Amino acid sequence: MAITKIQSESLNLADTYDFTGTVTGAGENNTPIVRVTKSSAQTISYNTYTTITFDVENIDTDNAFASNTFTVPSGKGGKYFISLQVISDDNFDATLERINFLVNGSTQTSGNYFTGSGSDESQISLNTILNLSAGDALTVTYFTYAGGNSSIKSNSDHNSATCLNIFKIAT
Amino acid sequence: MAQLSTKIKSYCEANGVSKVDFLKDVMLQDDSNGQGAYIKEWNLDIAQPTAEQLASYETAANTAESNAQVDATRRSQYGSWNDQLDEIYHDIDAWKTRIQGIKNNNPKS
Repeated sequence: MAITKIQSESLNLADTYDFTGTVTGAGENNTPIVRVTKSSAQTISYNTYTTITFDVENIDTDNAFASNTFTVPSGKGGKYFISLQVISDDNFDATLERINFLVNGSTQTSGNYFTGSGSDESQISLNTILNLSAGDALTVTYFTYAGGNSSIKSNSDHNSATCLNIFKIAT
Repeated sequence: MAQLSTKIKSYCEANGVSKVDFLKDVMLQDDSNGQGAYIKEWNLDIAQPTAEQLASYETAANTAESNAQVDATRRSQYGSWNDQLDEIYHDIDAWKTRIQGIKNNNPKS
């Protein structure tokens, strides 16, 4: 096999390489990858930080998600991209909806949505990158200020109405 | 059964605290594990209530929640301030009759 890309015992990085086979050993493995959703709506009491439940595991490569909690597997510590979308319906006059990422029970990141008067459906998204260690437990909570109880929508209301996506991006 | 936050508001009012901020003063948590909501942080100067003390405010809290629902229903039926001002401009007596009808149909406890 002719080797034309090796020049003076090194690769010419300015050249173009057109691989036709499989390249292994390059880049990082981006697992665990988790995507979870809800099969039914969840009622949330107002003025109470409530753990959002996820009972549908669309993707869970490392069996890292259980009991509404993502636990970083052994040897999988690193930087994680985490994305949460919540569609909710706040009943009469809630003024604020808040979603939070918690690691080991402590709030790391929050996102707010200020609602108008009356009942209305809202979509809140929260994205972040967290440096997590093996054994760290991540949960998400929802809070609605004053007003009445809210309902977090499920797959039966909208396709993937409320979903949590997690994947490792780097060590 | 009344919400924990409503019972806490009733307890605080009875102990001289007229307003509770549930983002700062008192933090409630529900771990969605079937155990229900609990007090995670209590940052008010008055003592944190016991479960028995909170239970004694069950009736008052139920009334407050029922009246809050009535208030919300009334507000939705009143309509916007803009529309009401227009009603008042054209026929204030008809507006008063309509508002009184809403109140009568949605009585508070």
